Amino acid sequence: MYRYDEFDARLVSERVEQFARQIERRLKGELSEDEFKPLRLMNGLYLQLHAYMLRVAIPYGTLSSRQLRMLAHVARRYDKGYGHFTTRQNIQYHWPRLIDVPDILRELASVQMHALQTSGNCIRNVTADQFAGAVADEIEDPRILAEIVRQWSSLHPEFSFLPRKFKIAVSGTPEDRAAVRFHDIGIEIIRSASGDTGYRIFVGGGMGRTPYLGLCIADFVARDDVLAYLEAILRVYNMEGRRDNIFKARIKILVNALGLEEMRARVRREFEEIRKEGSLNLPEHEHARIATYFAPPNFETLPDTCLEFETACARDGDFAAFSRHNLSRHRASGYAIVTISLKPTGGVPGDCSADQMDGLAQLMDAFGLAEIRVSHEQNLVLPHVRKKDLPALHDRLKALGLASPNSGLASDIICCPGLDYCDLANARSIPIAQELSRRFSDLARQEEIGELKIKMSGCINACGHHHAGHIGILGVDKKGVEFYQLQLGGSGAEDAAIAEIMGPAFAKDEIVDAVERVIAAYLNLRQPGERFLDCYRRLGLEPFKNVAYLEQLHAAY
Amino acid sequence: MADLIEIITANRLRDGAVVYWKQGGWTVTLADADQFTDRETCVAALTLAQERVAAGEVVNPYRFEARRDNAIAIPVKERELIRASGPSVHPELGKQADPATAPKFHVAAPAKPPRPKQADGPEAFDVSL
Repeated sequence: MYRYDEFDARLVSERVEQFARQIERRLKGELSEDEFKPLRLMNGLYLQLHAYMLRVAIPYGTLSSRQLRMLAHVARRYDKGYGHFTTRQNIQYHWPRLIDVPDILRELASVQMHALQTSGNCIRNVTADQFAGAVADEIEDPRILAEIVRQWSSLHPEFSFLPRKFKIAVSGTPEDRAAVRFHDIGIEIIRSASGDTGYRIFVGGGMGRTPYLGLCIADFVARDDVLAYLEAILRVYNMEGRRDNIFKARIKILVNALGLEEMRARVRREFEEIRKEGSLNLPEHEHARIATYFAPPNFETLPDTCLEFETACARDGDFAAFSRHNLSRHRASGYAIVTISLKPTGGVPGDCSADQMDGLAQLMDAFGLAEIRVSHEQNLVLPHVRKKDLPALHDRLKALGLASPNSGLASDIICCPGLDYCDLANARSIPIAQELSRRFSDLARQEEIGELKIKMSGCINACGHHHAGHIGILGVDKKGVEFYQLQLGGSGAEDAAIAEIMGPAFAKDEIVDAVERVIAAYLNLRQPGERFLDCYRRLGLEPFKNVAYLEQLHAAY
Repeated sequence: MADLIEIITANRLRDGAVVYWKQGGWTVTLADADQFTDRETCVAALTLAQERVAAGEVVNPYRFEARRDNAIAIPVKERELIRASGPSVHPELGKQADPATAPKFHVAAPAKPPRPKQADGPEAFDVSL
């Protein structure tokens, strides 16, 4: 894992004390609310419906057991005993008091954590594949570049007041688990024909009010040029992006207004200027130095077939189900990647109690696991687990209530906090996700349905990634009453697509039935082995739309 | 018979708690809040409430509508129902968890809302929100 050097530690601690003084001045009335608000947002502190919300950065979603224990401690001491993992691989606390925030930030700084740039019009927490360093077809661990980008972008003086927020994601494999084409900048690590590692850069992707898929602005950027190229994109955006209309301020609007060719030409001009100055080269030795922090553990030489694992699968149905869905193939023989679902039946997607966090930290130490990851799908991942440890690890997860065997299935739903917490939300999202999760709780039914990504947001800002859902649900407000739009056919993976809106919104007590009818139609219409997404792509919206509105049409007549 | 009233609310600066205007000060309980039956009095009270922002008491005071049913104020919009109670998915948290601050109405299961007007053409689809 990356460890702070003296500069990192000093920077974070100075910012904590600076914000502590700003809070003190606000409480004394020396700062007005208008003056204070941008300062608190720069430190990840929002004001929501019931209380403040503190969003703590988890760079590229990687945590040590010590950091996880600290997150548990903060949840218990300063909040209400739980935290909420988000689609940006961060954690949010929904109940901190303003007067406690300096102490929270000091405690977080003691384990090299902070809340900088988790809000505001700056470059946000850089996200990466949660399987980084563990999958076989990876060209390079994406966290190396993500960390370099984090260092370059933290408190970057030129990019602290961008037209709007800016999100970057990095993937190190052709299989995309980081939703790179839905980011302001998406980076895919690639290898050239001559064997050089470099970066394919997508720009202008995003969700929200106007969803776009990122467009490929550069097929191959060499490693030592990457910061110069990113700086060039940011510079064009900073100068040309719209500041007159918040709804048109993201880079996706600029890219689509200019057109890709013009955008590419402007970025190229800036890039050449920056290169002439020669100050933003990424030296090979610096890349290598950062890479050492992400070196994989020394994997033992183990056979891929493991007797303890096979025996447990044969003996324990729960373990066998967990193994079918929550394990992924590891690069090292005899190891597995474990996804810990934060989507228990009827639970709040992404929520994790302080006791569960502590229990996971103990489990990590007991099994010698240095890291745990947060995925953008609001689950946790243990990247390097010996197969022979899996039965005992599963028992521990079960005792913690963290052994739901539903990764990638219908009840593994991404869901934003919605109107239960969020000041921006138009409708509640969690109760709909809970009802869907109960409706599809039967594992045999979920297995029959197969891979299905349901994603749900409580407003157009799309924190719940509804545009990228195989089935997306968007909460809307109609005269103070909650309604829900259904969208089909989105994907945040390497086959990225924006979901298509079906039609008029459904009432709160109709939406789950409508989803169920759509899924039933899929089961009737699919060809052997065809995923929901592929079935939709073959047939289009119409057959699903017909069944989704069936009851409404009957009622209307 | 329920009649429409207005209530003034804000979040308390030091901890973000939801508060309501009550006789020149603030209360954390909706049931204790001043209930305004005429707009003019409410706007005048809101001006006073807004002065408390600079004083460091509260953030973002505003008015919202409620129905008054047997002297109990029931917010019209879902957002204010949830603010007055706490997260509907965590009945053990927020104002609803404490009998002293819990609202006097039940918010868990709102009545089935009216069906939106259906139309044939795609122009009726509300996709611009």
